[in-house]
Parts: sequence; C-alpha cells; structure tokens
Amino acid sequence: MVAAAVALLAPAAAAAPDDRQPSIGPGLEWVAHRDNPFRQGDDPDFINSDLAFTGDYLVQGNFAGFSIWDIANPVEPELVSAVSCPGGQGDVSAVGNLVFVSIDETMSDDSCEATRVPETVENWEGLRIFDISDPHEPRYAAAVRTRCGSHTHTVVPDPASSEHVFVYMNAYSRGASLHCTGRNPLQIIDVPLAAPENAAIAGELDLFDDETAFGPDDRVEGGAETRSTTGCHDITAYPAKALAVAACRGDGLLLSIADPLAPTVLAQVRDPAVAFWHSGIFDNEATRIVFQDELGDGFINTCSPAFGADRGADAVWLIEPGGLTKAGTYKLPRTQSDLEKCVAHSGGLVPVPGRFIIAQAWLEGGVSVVDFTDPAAPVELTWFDRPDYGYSMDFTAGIWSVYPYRGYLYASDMYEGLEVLRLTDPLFADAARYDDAGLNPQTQPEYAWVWREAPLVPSSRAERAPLETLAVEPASVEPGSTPTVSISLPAGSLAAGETTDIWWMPTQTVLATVEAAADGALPPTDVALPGPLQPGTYDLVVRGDVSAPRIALAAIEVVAPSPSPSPEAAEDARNAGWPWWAIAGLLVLAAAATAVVVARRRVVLARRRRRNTS
Amino acid sequence: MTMRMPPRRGSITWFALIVVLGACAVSSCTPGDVDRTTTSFVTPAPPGGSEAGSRGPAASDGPAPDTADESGATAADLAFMSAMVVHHEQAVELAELAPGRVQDRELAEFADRILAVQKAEAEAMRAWVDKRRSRGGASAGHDHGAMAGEISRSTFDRAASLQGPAFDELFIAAMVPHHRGAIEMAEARMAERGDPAVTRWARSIATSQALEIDRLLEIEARLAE
Repeated sequence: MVAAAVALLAPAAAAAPDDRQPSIGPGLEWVAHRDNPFRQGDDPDFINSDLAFTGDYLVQGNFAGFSIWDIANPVEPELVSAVSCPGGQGDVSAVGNLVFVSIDETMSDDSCEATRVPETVENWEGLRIFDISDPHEPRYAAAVRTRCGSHTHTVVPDPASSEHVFVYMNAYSRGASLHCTGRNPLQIIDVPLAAPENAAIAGELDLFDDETAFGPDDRVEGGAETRSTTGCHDITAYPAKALAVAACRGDGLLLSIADPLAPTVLAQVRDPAVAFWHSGIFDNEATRIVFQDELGDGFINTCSPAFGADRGADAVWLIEPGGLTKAGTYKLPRTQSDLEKCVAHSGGLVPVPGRFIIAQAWLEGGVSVVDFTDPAAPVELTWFDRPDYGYSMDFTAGIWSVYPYRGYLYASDMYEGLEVLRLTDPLFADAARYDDAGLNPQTQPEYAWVWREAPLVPSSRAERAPLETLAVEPASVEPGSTPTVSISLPAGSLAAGETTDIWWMPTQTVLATVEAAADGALPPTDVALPGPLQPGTYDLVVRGDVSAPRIALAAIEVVAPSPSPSPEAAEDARNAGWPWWAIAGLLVLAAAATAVVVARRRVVLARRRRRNTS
Repeated sequence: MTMRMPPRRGSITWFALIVVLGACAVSSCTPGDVDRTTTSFVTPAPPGGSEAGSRGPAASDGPAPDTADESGATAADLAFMSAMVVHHEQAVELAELAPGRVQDRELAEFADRILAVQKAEAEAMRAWVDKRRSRGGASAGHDHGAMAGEISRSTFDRAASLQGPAFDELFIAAMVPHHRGAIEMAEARMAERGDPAVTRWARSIATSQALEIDRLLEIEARLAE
C-alpha cells in the first residue's frame, strides 16, 4: 500500500525538493501541491492559516490576506485570486458568495492597505467581509470592529431564517491594550447575506464570571493580567444538535446554542493535563468531543519523549447527563525533530458511518487521521509528515489545519502552501460520496447516510400519485424476460449534479448510481431489471443524496399473455409477435427468393443443354 | 498515406499566438496588464464607511528602518527575547529542583510540564537571539532588557534545602511572581514597535504564563484547605 502511494504521488512530489519528501501512511495518496502565493522566504507575516469551502472554491486564510482556489478538480487546484489584505490570523469562513476573515492583530485601520501598529495606539481589529461573486475580483463589503478583534470566528445559522447568519467572534485580551483588556465577552455579529454591508454586532454576552475566570483582582500592580480565561480561542458549533464546544484558553465549555443570540453554558471543565484549550470537534452523534491542547502555542516541539504521550495532545470527553467525562488521550505517535514545531492543532470530522474519525494537523508533525471510536484506545489510521527543513523556523510552522471535503483532505501548510490528499481506503467510500455544498469546519454539519437505507415507498394511491414522475421506456415488459429499460426525469427534479441512486424495490437493491445533470434532470439511463420477471407490478425509485428523502417513482408492469377466448383468436395469437407489415414483407421476400431460384435453375439448364450440344 | 509537417517557424508563431490569445481569454487583458495572468493578486478597495484615511499616519508596528535589522527585529525585540531566555531559565532551574522534593502530585506534574515547555521555549528563543547576534548590526547589543519577577539566589538555595509541603509552598510562592514578571515583560514589549512575529510570541508567552498562574493559584488554594 505504501509502495503504491509512493508511485502515485510522483506528480505532486515533483514540486518538493528531494530532502523534503514526506512520509505518507497507508490508504493515503498525495495528489496535489500548490505553493503559498504570498510566501516571502521565512517571513512569518505571509503564512497560511485556516480553510473554508464554498461549492467548488476553497478559501485559504493568510496573515497577508487570503487565496481562492478552484477545486472543481481536486487533483488540479487552480489559484483564482490572491487577495492582499494584511492582518493575522486570517481565520476564514465562507457562506455562499461571502467570505469572512478574522483579524486580531492591531492594524492602523480597516483597509487592505493597513499596517500593523502596537496594541497601545489607536487601532482597528475585527471581522472583514468580502463578496466573492466574482472570485477574480473579490469586493471588500464590510468591516466590523470588535473590542478584541477576532482570533477565530464561528458561523452559526439562524434556525428561524436562512437570509442571514450569526458570527461568533472568538477573542481574548492579550494584556496591555487600548481597547482590549480584561475579560472579553462573546460578541455576536449579524450578517444579512444579501446586504453584508449592514453587518453589525447584534449581541454580547459573558460566558464567564469573576468566580471562574478573570476578575477585577486579576490585574497586578504593573498592569499585567494574570488570569487565563479572558475569552475563547475557538468555538465549534453543531447547529443540528443545538450545541457548541468552546475552547477558552484555560477552560473547555459545552454550550447550548438553541437560541444562537443567547448561548448558555451547559458544562465547564478544567483539567490539570490540558494546558491550552485550543479547539474541539464533535462526533456525528454529538456524544463525544475531541479537544486539542495547544501547549506552547505552536512555538515548540511537544512531539518528543520529553513531553510524553498526554501533553500537547488530544483529549476525548464524553457528553453525559452530568457533564463532560474524560475518556482518553491521543498523541501523534511519530517523534519529531527538535528543529520542528509540533502540537495538536486544527482538524475536522471525517464522515464515516458508525465511527468517530478525525483528520487533524500537528504543525510540522503533519497530518494524522485518527479513529476515536474507542475513546480509551485511539488508533492512527494514516498520516502525512514532512521531515524538518534542516534548520528550525524562528516562529510557528507546518500544517495549520486539515479538513475532509468531498473525499479529499485539504491541508493548509503555513509556508509550503496547499496539500491535497485522497483517502483511498474503502472505509472512506461514504465520506467520498458525501455531496458537500460547502463547509466551514467550525460549523459542523450533521452527516446523514441517506444512500445506505432503502427508500420507503407509500402504498396508497393518493400518496403514490404525486411521486410517479419517473419516465420509463418501455413502461411494460414481458414475463420471464430480463429487460433493459431507459429511465429519466425532467429538469428540476433533482439537485444539480447530486449523486443519485436507482433502486429496484422488489429486492431493495441499487441498480445504478449516476450523477444528476446541472439542471437537475436525470438524463436517460439504461438499467437492466433483475429477471426473469413474473407477471405483476414492480416499483422503481430514483433518489438523490441531497434532495432525499424526496423520491421519484415508477411502476413497471410485467404483463402476462392474454387468455385465448376462441380458435380464431388462437390463430391470431400465433402471429401475435409479428406485425402485419412484417408478414407481408416476409411473403414478398419468399416470392422474390422463389423467382431467383427459378431463374437460376433456368440458366443452369440452358448451360447444360449447350454443353451437351457442343 | 504521408503528411507533410508544417515549417517549424510557422508552428512556433502559431504556438505563441495561441498562448497570448489563451492568456487574454481568461483574464480579459489589455496589452498593458498581461502580468495579472501570472500574479492573480488583487487588493480590494476599502468598504463603504471605512476608517481608512480618516486618521493621521500611525506608528507602524514592524521594522522601523533605522532601528531594525534585516530580519525586521528591533532593539526592543532583542532586549525582550534575550531577557526572556534568562527568565525562562530561572523557571527551569526551579522546576528542576522539584523531583524528590515536591509532595503534591498535581504540582509535581505541573513542575515537570513547566520544565519541558520552558526549556524548549528558552532554546527556541536563544536560537532566535543567536541568529540575530551573529548577523551583527545596530541592534545586536548584549544588553538584556529588564527582568521582572526574578527569583533570587537565596530562594533557589532555600528551595534546594526544603522537602514536601514546605517545598510546595515555596515553589508556588516563587513561581507566581516570576510568571507575573514574564507577563509584565511581554506587555512592555507589546507596547513597543518591533517585528510583528515577536509581538505574537510575546502575546503567546503572556497567555501561557497567565494559564500557569491560574493553575498554581488553584493548587495553592487546594493545599491551604
């Protein structure tokens, strides 16, 4: 398996110098590499950060702006534009044609010409909103200032309206600052999707109190702030479950976001073994959370024996009625060189039914795909890990984040650029099939495996009638045959390009899996019905992964031969398979053949006669 | 059947034309801005109501041309980093005394983590300082910045002579002000101009030391019960 992967990565590997060839685990293929377009040597002001997906576009944040990649063909990502707009850390989200960018470095103003200024002078930090309707020329639509800027942010949909979204601004005070001191409340921005220029702060609440976090007494004489939890580092929302997990430096929180403007704390945990609560990932059932501990903030190598197996690691917590219960830890098993930076960083759920698998970045430790299904015994399934540079980067370096999208893993390397990896193990067949329309990894979708269960077909005529939209040619077939029929649906019946199954309901099996047309039509598709068929009526169903549970239905008639009421009818029946014109044609052919034979015979007889006379 | 190849010069001309037409087709270029096809860089105009331009020239963070070296580091950066190396080494030295003396299990674990983290951070910062010193330049002086929360030699000596609860108490009593000092040093650097990457590092140190102070105070409160 490893040998196959090595052979297949040749095109991508060509981009890397020989001494930077990565180690790649089983069932993983390195299919593409693209350089960081902003990179300026080892200057950390041009490093990549997080990723977001909208349709065929991948948005890659950078401390100097963001890149838009066309990933319609995942093995050939194309740079559509590199948007120059400095300010770290460039955490990104994408909603339709809008891109949100987090800035928590104090900038001279809100423009893309701004420069970095000290915290203690007048400055701007907050959320930038871009319209990428023309991805070649993104438009800067709005800038929303918040008191501590935005280290990361989280898009939370409004259950009541799809016309706007809420954005949670995750930020904390860093100490002496003009605007950002003390405990930073969670500020929530409301973004009207059709009028992003009207985006504004819609709510503000404190997730902590003086008892459990930074309070007035926590500022010492020199002015320094000496309590850790002054705000949150990152929040992952799971809207379908009305939950969110907040990683708030010294504390981990489980939130209810049933009312997105008024999240409430369901559980708060501190753990002596967890130094810096960085981020969290839910399993699909929302029964477990993996928290990342970014010990050392990315400036050191914690993936070495000196740090052991549970520092700078992942910790799994069970969501139980009484709160959160720790159930296990995972640490990257490959020791990294002390020339590298390595610690648990950002990742996302790999959607595999019945399993809890994540892909996660470990900075220069690379990518690790881990199965947490048994939280007490996590197992690494595969990895991607470059060797060190031969020297130590001055600041943080390596892979910031990695997320699965449409069966591929996209990894954002701070200096190197973008890596695309394909999960080749059959275990990931369902993940590859999932039709993502977009993905903000910190807004976890609920994965539904609609294609794994046979559709339910109503039996009453009234319920069936509106579903019988499937065109079948021919609509009725003969008993005892194994016929092939052609089926189709008109435009608008399915979601554009969605993966679509054709189900044969008598055996509840899939006869074919096809892709819907861009206009939502099912192009005429030939399917062989499993025969021999007995007389009767059989259901054929078409269901798309995205438009499910909606189905299109057709009843195939298998028609028995008509009974024979009279001898004349029986005579007719013998010819039943032959149309009149065919019989007439045969008669004409027979007559012509007779004529040819007769004529030939005459010629032969005439020759014989001549021979005899000569 | 045979086919004659077109003359070589003709094929080159056609190839060039196709490349030019192809490039212009994707970018709707005019002869003057062919560069866009190779760079793809755009700088959007500010949004409506932008604050840009409403302020006077700001004191930019980052390299001040007269004081920064070629990597963008200023004298403030070098002073901060070299002082922080020494400051971290004090935390390491105290933490190294813990094995065999510390009694509380959580504090033992905590001291061991401080040892690992601050040792690694000190090494990283020392490498950063050495790299810039070896390059020479205006900012490559040997003066350390001010160090706050310093642990005195007598405190180290006393810690070395203590065992059990007495050691635990001294460890916390010395480490908390030591870490508060680190936060003060980081905040002092954040108020100055310098390499933005050093600013981020200073923020990170302030954050992680505040986390450790939190934990130490929690342990102290528990031990006092």
